[in-house]
Amino acid sequence: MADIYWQPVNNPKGSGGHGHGRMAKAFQLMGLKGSTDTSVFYIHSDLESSDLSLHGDAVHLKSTGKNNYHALVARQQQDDIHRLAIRYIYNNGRPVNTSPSELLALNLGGLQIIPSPLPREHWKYKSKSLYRFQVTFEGKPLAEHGLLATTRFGSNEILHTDQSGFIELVIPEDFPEIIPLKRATPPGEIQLFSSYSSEGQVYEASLTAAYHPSDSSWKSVSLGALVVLIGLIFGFYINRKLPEHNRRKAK
Amino acid sequence: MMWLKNLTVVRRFVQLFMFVFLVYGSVVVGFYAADKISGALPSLSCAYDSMNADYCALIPLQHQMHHRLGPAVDSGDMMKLFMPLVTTLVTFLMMFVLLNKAFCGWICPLGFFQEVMQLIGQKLGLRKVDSLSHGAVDKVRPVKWLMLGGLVFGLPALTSLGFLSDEWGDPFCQICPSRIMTTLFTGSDEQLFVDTSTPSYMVLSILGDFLFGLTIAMAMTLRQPFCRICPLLAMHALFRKIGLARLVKKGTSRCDKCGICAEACPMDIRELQTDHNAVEKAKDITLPDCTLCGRCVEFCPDKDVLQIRYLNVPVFSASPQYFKRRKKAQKEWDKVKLIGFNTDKTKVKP
Ligand code: SF4
Ligand code: SF4
Ligand code: SF4
Repeated sequence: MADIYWQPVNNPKGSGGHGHGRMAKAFQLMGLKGSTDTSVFYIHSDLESSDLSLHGDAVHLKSTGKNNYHALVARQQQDDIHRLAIRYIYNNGRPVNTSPSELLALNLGGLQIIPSPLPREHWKYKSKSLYRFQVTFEGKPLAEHGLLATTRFGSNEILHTDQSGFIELVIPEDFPEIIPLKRATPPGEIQLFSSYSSEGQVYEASLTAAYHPSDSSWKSVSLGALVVLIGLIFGFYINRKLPEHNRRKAK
Repeated sequence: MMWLKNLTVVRRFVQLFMFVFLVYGSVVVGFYAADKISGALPSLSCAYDSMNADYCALIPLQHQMHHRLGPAVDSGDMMKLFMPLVTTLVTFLMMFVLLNKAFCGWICPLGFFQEVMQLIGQKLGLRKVDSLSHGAVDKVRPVKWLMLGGLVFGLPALTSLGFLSDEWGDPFCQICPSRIMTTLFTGSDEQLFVDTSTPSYMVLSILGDFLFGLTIAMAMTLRQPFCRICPLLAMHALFRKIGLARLVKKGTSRCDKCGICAEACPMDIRELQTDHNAVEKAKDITLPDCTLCGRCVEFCPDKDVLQIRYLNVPVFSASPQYFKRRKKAQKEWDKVKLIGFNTDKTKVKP
């Protein structure tokens, strides 16, 4: 597919947008056709919006001072093709009164791929976990519609939406190497693409996000259960030893 | 049935409702943290539960100490720490004022879970230890302050200042039994783990799992074992004087010989019997370990000696008639046993 999509400018640290700092983040708009007019805007977590300009194919995002998810949006129209690229970016700052669900509910027109939901604040997309996305056209769900999911590491899968326009996707654990420690492995990129034709017009949409390795490489559930069991047994042992204290001698 | 009509039964229904609401309530309030009711609840409803309706104040407090103290000290601008800290505390207090320590006795999922374990223990006929000795109670009481001072504020502060590695930024969450319990209730085993990535994470995760197992087992024999060391109980104790709900007592000389209230108290508050006897006016006796469960009032046989008041209006008062009914109901309830594991007690036919 020739869609446009966002990806972090190569800097493994600043890619996920989940750091605690307020440093500028840079993203690249991939799949750009040189001469085509592209508008880029940034919808803040409080739904205010600001226009951005591309430097080459990149934007540099400064902190808006507002907390929570923002949406980085690029829109392109070339003849009868309408392209839309979205990436949701977490920003740290002062709390706002809007919920990410309101940001996701914005109808940007045309074809859209909407996370339902996004990972909760301070959580992340993780491999081996299941996530849902909805494909909509002009705000209405598209049933039995195709969607291509690819990753930076080369995995790909074609999925079809259900009657309500949802797909369920398990992000593959396809990292070339996993360092068994939280935040140590450079994140992967999941890229979702879809297209739709209506009344002679073609609509293309993309959604991208960073994902991190599942914790299963360094967290063991069975060991955890074993320790709980040891705690239980120890507890039952103490229970037998606990001295009974009775204030009133005769009962 | 008669025995259904008592405060404990009403409380159980409220607890069950709150448990379901807090553990699964995202369906109602929304999924994102921004949708939650307060984000600083005075009960151990867990932020790690993906379906919660709200989460406890201890997680923002630890995070603020961990992420804000260091930068605040470095920049010399302490407002960087105080602003978020004050926001959390004010939110916490706005909720807390309404119910005071009843957030423990009526709302907390972990408090309810321990009570359910106790019921199960009793129904299985396991050994029952109603009270700990005075010495043991005195030794356990300061632990909650250490948990609050050390795990919620101290270690995250030291981490923020660079004295400890990053793993120690939210140590209470890492050992909190509510994290494992509530997530298991949502069908996820994600929080039940041993983390082998670093020695610190390993120690903390093992401690957390062990404490969870210990809490379950001990709750079957001893009432509210974890509550006795819970940092939120300590935080409640700090602010209990501003709560609108109170336990009050206007004791008489008869209290010296009675003490059924202290025996009924799941938190082993023996001062219930000894304080405020022979006073002119009812006095606040919402003690640091109280959870405002109201059991002491139920089991006080003397008219109006113990009361739960809201805005100083009595809402539930001790009375001899109620006491008789309540005692009978308890006896009947205690008789119902499924199995009698504890052979040194008389087994009663179901
Ligand atoms: S782990 Fe415990 S302290 Fe931390 S958010 Fe959950 S309930 Fe609160
Ligand atoms: S003391 Fe018990 S009831 Fe209160 S917050 Fe802690 S665990 Fe919950
Ligand atoms: S003092 Fe009374 S209300 Fe408080 S915990 Fe004990 S029994 Fe419950």
